[in-house]
Amino acid sequence: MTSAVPVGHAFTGLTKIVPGRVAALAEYLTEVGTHIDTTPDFAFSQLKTVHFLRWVVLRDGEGGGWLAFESNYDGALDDHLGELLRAGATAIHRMYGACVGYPLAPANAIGPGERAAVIAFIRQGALPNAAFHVGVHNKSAERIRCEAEIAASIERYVDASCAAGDLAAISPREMYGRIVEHLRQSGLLARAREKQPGAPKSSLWPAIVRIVPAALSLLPLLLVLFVQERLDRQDDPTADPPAIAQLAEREDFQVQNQLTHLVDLKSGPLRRWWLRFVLWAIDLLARFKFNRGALGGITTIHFARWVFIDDHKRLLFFSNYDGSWESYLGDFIDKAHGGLTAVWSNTLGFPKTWFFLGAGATDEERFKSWTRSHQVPTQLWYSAYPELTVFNIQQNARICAGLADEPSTPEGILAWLQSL
Amino acid sequence: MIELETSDIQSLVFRGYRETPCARYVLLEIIDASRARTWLGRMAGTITIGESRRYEVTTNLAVTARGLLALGMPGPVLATFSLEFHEGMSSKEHRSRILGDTGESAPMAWQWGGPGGAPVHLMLMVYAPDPASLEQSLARHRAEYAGALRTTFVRDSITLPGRREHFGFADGIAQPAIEGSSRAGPDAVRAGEFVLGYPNAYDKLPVSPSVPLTLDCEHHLLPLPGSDGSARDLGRNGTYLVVRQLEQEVQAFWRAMTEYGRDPSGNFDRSEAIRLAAKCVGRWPSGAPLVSSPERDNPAYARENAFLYAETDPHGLACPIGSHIRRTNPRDSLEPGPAESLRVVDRHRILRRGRSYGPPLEPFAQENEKAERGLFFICINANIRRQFEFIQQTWSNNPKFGGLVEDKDPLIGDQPAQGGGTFTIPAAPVRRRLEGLARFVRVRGGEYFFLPSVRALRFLAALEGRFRGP
Repeated sequence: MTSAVPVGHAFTGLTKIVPGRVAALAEYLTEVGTHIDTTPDFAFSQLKTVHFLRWVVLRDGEGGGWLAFESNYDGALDDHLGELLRAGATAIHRMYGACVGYPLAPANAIGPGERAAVIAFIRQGALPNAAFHVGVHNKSAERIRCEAEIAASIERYVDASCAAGDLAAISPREMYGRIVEHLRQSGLLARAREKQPGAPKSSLWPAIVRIVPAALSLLPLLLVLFVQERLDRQDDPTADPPAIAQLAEREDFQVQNQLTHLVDLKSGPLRRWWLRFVLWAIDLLARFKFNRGALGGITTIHFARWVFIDDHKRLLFFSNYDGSWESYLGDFIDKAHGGLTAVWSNTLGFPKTWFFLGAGATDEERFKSWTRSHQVPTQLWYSAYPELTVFNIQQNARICAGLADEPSTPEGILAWLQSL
Repeated sequence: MIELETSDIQSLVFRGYRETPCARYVLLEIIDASRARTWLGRMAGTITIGESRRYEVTTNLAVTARGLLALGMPGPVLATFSLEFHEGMSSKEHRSRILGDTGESAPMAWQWGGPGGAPVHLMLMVYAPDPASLEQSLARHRAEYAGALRTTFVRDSITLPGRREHFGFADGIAQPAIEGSSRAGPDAVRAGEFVLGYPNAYDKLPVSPSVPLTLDCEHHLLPLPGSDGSARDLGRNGTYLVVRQLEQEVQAFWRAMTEYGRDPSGNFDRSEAIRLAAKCVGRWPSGAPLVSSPERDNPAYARENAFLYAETDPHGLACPIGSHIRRTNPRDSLEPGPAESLRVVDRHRILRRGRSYGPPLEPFAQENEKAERGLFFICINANIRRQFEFIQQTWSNNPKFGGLVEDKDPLIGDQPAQGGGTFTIPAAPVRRRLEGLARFVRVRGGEYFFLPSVRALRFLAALEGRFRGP
């Protein structure tokens, strides 16, 4: 019963790569990342605890670099990492074998006896999330795929029914009954009706009561920062065509996309404190208020996080989202520019802001160009359900909920049928 | 209120010249840069500018990134144009992927603009009231550019009765009005969405291509806003033009609708085929929107454009969510709600200036015939990526549009080659899905152009002597 185990966690790890092996590691990750379905080094299709995985090389500008690892997983962390080691022993051995302090010799392999040491090594690089957002709460990857299978089965059944004759004369209740009967015969009904944990409560208050007093205590800091803000410099909206082409060529193979973004903080401890506060506030809002699929109006994010690296000198952003980069950035501007400006105005080159929340991201072309110029190509990225959007997942959940509890009114049944 | 400098703006921005039914599109390659610049200087005085309605011959001229290089434009200046213009429509695999230019629509097989074809440098667009004056005008142009340019491709437009396109549906009804133009009403779209040099829907000046003052010694151009005067504005009053030759498989389209529309005993039902086709389009053949007239065509609504979806038809029971017009202009139907949707949609509008080509074909024609016909699609936008490409990728080709699962735009979407695509028609008690949908529109050519202002044309003509091109 995976649904009883807490699901949808985030692990972020950063491991120093042995100097001189950065380029070779990036190449290897790319090799695996472009052959997710066929690579002999990692049996991704066997994974049960995973929503999204990514490994990406972050360079330090002096020829060195870190191996950054992002995972969104279900259950206990050690169980999850253990599963990765079973399915991807060869790949993980090669990846972490290029890192400083890896416990195994190159000639070794990760057998059952070595797993604990490797897990401990990966966990050494763990970093806390400064802010974390989950699109769909309380739903394991396994359940997401199961509900998708049920929905697809219903769609196929309705297609076949349409082909067999005109359905216009059939009452909604009759149609609903036929679908239930179809699921019963295909052995899917019991799974569709499995009791699911409800959506979390959504309320602004728990966040407000924490954020407001903290914000008030920061007022003197804000006044100093306001003066600093006048002196901030913004990047020109100039494109680096080869760099953008390198990012774009890895996008839009499926309905989901990913973003890895890394930028230096503006100097000074005040900035750092302010940004920590902003991310803490966003984390609270994501947890208590924006916990039903939408982060400030953006409904296309599966998982996103901000992480400080390099002793709070740089800010890393990972996102797994639906649709095109252009529409994702458009959503940033149209629906969430205030929050994003509050975060990224503390980093170098961001478009000019007005009192930390204003302007900034609304400078559309400058903001998009700035985002692209700090985006990092992601070498290895895996999604456990690449054909599903956040909306699809929620819709499939509603379809299953409507099977567990039959709608009591004719309108309710019709609405359920219309969701197909 | 914005004051548009209409005497510097090519009139194609304002008009589709419906009053002059004949048109010819001529693609040109520069063979002598110096003479081509001289010719451009002459064209700066003859191209049609401004807003007023014309009943005589009109001429517009657009140039590609390769064309600018061939004219002697320095590389660093070219880099100030937008990336998508600079890269071109067909040079990057990623762009072909998001535009759906794959399979039979891949650039490799294009008649023009693809990797194997002749270089596309300029496009001359001439509109005339009758064939004779069109020929006369073109003969004069040919004589003038002889030795400077070479014609690489020519396409004549045709006008189908009732402003229809080849599938038989009235087209070009929903066009945004440009703020500051004579057509502008309360819902006009900001001028900077269609012309460089004016505030756009984000209330910002669009990024505009610019040149250093040293290149503009004759001061043809105005200073770039926000610069100290050392940069001159090459983009102002110009804009970007997207051109695509879209071949329409009229017979395949109507045969498919006929098959989907057969009654339960397999009999041909003409009105059902038309109804399904209208569901795909979102309008009836007359142009009447399905939300205004869900059950049957009603010519009284033929030019109707003042309609919305959120309140009248939230679930697409009249006009399917995935229909062509609901995808390409979702109006108030996007999440999270109507007001926000209208605001967002204004950031993804285009001015359509295309025309049909090729002989018309009756919808249910029986005899097999293979003539080429389609739409010479032209649209105007200030930001190709955020407007044309966005509509194509995020709305038309997106299987998840509006909460759908695997449908694509039934008219222009890049349906999967294997097994075809699906199209969901919401209905009571349950939706119907058309399955195995083929691709009825094939891309046969295309390129991104810049539509320069008169000032920019004069500047280009004067590049001579100061810079030696590659």
